[in-house]
Amino acid sequence: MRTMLNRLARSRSQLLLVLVVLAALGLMWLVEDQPRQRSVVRADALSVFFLLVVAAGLLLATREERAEQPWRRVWLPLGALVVGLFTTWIPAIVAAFAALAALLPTAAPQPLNLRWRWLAPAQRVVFASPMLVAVACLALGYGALVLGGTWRYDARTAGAALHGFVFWFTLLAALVPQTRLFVARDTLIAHPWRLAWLYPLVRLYSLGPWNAGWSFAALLLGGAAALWAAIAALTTADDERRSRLIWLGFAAMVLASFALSTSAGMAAGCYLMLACLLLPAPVANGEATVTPTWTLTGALPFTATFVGVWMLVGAATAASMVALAGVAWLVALLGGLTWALHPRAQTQPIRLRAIISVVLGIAAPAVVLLLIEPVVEQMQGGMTVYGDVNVWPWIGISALDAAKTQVAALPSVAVAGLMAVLLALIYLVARLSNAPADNDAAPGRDAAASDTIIAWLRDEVPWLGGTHGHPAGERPIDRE
Amino acid sequence: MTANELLSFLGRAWWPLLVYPGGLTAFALVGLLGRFERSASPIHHSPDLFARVSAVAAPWLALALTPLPSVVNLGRPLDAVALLALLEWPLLLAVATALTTGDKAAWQAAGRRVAAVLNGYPSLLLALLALAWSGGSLQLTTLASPPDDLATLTTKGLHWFGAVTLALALPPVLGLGPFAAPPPGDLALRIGLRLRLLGYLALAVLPWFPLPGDNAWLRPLPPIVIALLLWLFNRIAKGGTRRWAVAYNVFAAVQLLALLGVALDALRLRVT
Repeated sequence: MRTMLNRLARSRSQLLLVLVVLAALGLMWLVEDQPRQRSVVRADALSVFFLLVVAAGLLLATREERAEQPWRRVWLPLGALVVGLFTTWIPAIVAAFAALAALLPTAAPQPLNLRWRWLAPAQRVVFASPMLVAVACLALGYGALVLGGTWRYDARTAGAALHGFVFWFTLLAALVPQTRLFVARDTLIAHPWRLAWLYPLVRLYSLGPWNAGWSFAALLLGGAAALWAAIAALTTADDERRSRLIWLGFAAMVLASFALSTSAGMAAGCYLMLACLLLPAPVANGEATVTPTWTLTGALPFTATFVGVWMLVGAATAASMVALAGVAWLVALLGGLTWALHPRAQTQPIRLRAIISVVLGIAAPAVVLLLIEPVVEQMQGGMTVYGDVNVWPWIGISALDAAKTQVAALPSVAVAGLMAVLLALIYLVARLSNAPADNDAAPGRDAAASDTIIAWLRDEVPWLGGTHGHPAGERPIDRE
Repeated sequence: MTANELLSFLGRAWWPLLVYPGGLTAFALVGLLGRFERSASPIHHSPDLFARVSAVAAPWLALALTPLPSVVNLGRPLDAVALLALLEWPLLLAVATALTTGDKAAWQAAGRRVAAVLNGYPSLLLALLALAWSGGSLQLTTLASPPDDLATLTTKGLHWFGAVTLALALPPVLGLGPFAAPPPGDLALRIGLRLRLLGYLALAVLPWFPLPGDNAWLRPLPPIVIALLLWLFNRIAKGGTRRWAVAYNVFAAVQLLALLGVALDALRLRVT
């Protein structure tokens, strides 16, 4: 009976979340041409896109993971977020994000024994401290805007109040929620909320263009974090840590994309946010984690994660940020190898994410055209001309530089069509030539093999920089 | 942009897919490569059907979409990022499959393969970025065309630096010479890896094709020369993997320094 009630509550939550996603899609259609505004209530494409991302992420998360106290973990924070997203009044945005932080699922502290029970409130504060830091930074950053006389971000003179202090503290507020790497336990539901914290930073583009120095610093930070996370994810033997590092790498790439200050960068950042939702959780249902299947690694075209990274490479090339393009490209290749070194069986929820990833990847032109182009167009005021996205609805997408020269092209629909033809052809030939039928279930990953290879890689690949591999006498791969 | 363009794209693609450079041409070369290959590991476990089929399809598609000379122009060329992702797919499958076999020799081979590509990626990407920087685009058609006469000396130098270093970066990426690993037991994975080798060879040859100019009979020269050099490296290069790995890391550092030098120069010009 209790299970039935739980299931009913869960499906009701999911049904409501489906309605929120549909409402967000409807709103996007309404505000596609121009923002709708009444006094301090304003719905533009950026607000609606963030609502869509968070609601879709929550829908995916609650399907796989039961939300404890859904009112507190899902609905109240979502209400606070709606207030923050659809108001132009800056103190209300800060208050909404403070409420969000208070309600967010924080890491569960270990219960203290009776003798130390009186320390429990302090323990909760320590565990919640990253979110407190985030709120404090946002209050300082946006507070400086208010002190500068800007109470609403759509005020005519709002740009005048945008200075370094505002930017740095808002950047910190966006970064802190992404970096909770070493906290004991994390949940899938936390993912969309972390993405929500990028909103105050991206909203700064509504005030005016970013200083070149701010963009460069954010690019450097995003690129370096993404590269570090990709290398660490490849070489770590701990599944849970690997999943967190993969998340951190993608979050860093989202930051780097937004920091490009170009239309192509904005499009890449929005698309990467969608791709982030598909990354698996560090811990699913308290069991051993499932590492990303191939559709979630950025290893093969036709997947959302690949298209996201590809868009960042294209945007960086268009902006002549060749180093960032190289870093993002290397991150994609390392992501593929990380998957290959840690193969795992697919589980049902992951399969749903895999299917969504392929659909989003192949239909990237439609996704960009319907959901992301309105955001890019409405944020033009803060963008530079160094990079744009061109959509060929039936073929694919391309990135353009300032001279409108095509710098990267991904005919995703066309190539997926050709791939389908080849797959069918090879399948037919394999069947006709009586190739051996599908094997039984794989014997499973040899964990020792992965671990030994990783230790060996640290020795054999100098640029990985590891010195903690096997001692010279214990190099099992050399022993043949 | 309408659905007709998609249909016309798919319609025009049959020659590159089935005859040249993919299809018949590719499989003739795959057969030829098989004669030089070391004996394969015994099969302990084959990947599933999708993996076997896609291990051949992805590099085949990449090869078919490479803008080699005399290839039908499909109008919407791929870029280097998507091409590399397609080419790497059989390698990833070979590694992932080896780790589920429970066979020690298979995962040792997988380890060698991963270490080799990790030592090759920095050089490969830096070479491709140098080419992309010089042409201002990651599209394969741009990587293949040399800068025009009006281009600055730096642009021309960057292009040829990229072209030379791209060819030099191939041995670890392809697992040649000291980086070699026994081929996987499964036939589909072996074919996939040979197609991958052909794809990389085609990519490395692209910048050299315009050199012979109008002399049609000289056109086969660049692929033959590069293939010959790679074969020689495969036969002659000796020594421990570690020493070559360090050498390739130093090589990548030199490439990085060269690119940084060009970037600083460009910055100095912009400031003054």
